[in-house]
Amino acid sequence: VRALLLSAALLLACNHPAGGKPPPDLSPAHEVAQREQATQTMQQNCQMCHSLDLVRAQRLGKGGWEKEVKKMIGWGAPVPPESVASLVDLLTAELGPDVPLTAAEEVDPASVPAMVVPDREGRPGDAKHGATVYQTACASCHGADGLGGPVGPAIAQRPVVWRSADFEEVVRTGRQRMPSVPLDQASLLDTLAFLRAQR
Amino acid sequence: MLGGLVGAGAAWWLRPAWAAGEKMIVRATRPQDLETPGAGLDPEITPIDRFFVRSHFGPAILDGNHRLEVGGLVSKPLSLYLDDLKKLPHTTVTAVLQCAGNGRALFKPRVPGAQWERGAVGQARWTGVRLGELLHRAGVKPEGRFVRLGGADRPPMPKTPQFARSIPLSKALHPSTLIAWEMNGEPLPLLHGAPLRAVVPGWVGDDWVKWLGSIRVEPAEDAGFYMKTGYRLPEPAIQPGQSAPPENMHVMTSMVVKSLITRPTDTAVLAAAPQLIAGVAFAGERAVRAVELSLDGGKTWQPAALDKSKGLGSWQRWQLPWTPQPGRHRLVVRATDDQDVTQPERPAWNPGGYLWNGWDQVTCEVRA
Repeated sequence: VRALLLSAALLLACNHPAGGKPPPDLSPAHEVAQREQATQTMQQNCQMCHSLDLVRAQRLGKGGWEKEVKKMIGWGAPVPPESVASLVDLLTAELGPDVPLTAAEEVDPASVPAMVVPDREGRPGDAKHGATVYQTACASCHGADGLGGPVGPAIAQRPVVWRSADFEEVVRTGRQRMPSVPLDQASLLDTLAFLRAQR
Repeated sequence: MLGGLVGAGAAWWLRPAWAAGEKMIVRATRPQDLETPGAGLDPEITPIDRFFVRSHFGPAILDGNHRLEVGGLVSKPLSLYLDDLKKLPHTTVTAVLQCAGNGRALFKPRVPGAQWERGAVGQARWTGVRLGELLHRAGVKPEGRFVRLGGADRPPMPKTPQFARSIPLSKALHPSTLIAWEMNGEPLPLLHGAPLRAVVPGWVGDDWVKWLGSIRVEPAEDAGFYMKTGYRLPEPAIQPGQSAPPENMHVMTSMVVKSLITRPTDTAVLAAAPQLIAGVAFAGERAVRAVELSLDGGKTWQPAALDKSKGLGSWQRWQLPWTPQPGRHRLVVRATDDQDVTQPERPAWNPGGYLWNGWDQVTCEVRA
């Protein structure tokens, strides 16, 4: 048993030459996994404020990406500290200065106003009941007042609460970090009424 | 001869360059950043549906209970509904709105931000009350030196700074500076800042605050990100990719001289027949004195016919008759303002990618 333990310790020592820190795993499978994880970091922490087409149009070197990611974290992007380096590496590899540009999407101008037009006709809900529902179902992420919390963006005073179909879709299906929230229709409308009344 | 061709051109002008089915270029889906393609810049007044859109945080939805607050260093703070504002004397100005970052994608090395190329610019007729009228009614105290224009669009994360700009009192009191509720004779659309936006003719778009929530007279510029860090230019100029010490970074104010070719459009295929090369030119608070075209990549230049300035911050149209030979042609334009500043081949690089005003160019193919 002793010999076995010793050889295990030796093996560990060989694997961790510099003060116990493991060397980087350079296997292709590991690289793929890391890239997938970094992509997930981007999807989960950027889109609460802006769409990813804005990111994909950039071409920056590593220094530029480091600065941008740092700025966005300062502005509230909840990127976990341990994921920053791999996110910067992903951005630099896929959106570096020498990566060819892709053509921007186009949109029919006639369809543009409908993207933002508010839905003022939504059925009025009970804001008081909505406040209770909100505190139970939403406040831990989006903050007590709906103006944003540690991981959830502001929803009060944001376009989403003036478009009840958009609001309902997000609540029902979830989005990135947010799970779907099982609210009955009346509670959903009450929550909307509460959020619309928030100033 | 020139007169005849210009006359013919005026009729030709009426034909829309904007083809059916023409699209806006999406620089960001959310919040909306939409760029006007070259042909959309051709009309004197840019129609609303092809006017570029730039948003910091997306529309604030301000309902009928919203009031515009005018406060700070004033003797009589005001709190006005849109209907109250509409009862005040109002005026209409025709002025160019250009995003500070229009042309950002043309800087090398690239800088972060919406990757605008040529079309984050347009001209509209803006109707509203003079900001000076509101300040006069509120009574500016002697210590008041800047007017802070606060956007009501709320950032998604609490740590993201809310948008606000300060303009000096002198610019706020200029008779062209408005708080507007109409664009091209229509109610201001939501994507363009409804119910109210600032109109600051001659100055860069960042001062034209949309979804205006408050106006405050203050002793100094706002201390927020958009005055102290963003929207600043290095002076003296720096080498590409370098940074300047903070004391050399200055707040942007007036736009700089620039011209754009709107006919023909880039990559157009044309007939070898007499036609006009045409476009627009503007110079912020200055007027444009001359526009020149080069058909040999900038070696020689010929003057274009240029409209007179129609007022502070408006653009001037220009045109040049052209009878091309079959083949590929690169057309290059540059403008000169009334202080003899000429549009450079490439402007000095800056870290924000602001105020690109390099020679504009289009390439087209002429077939026999």
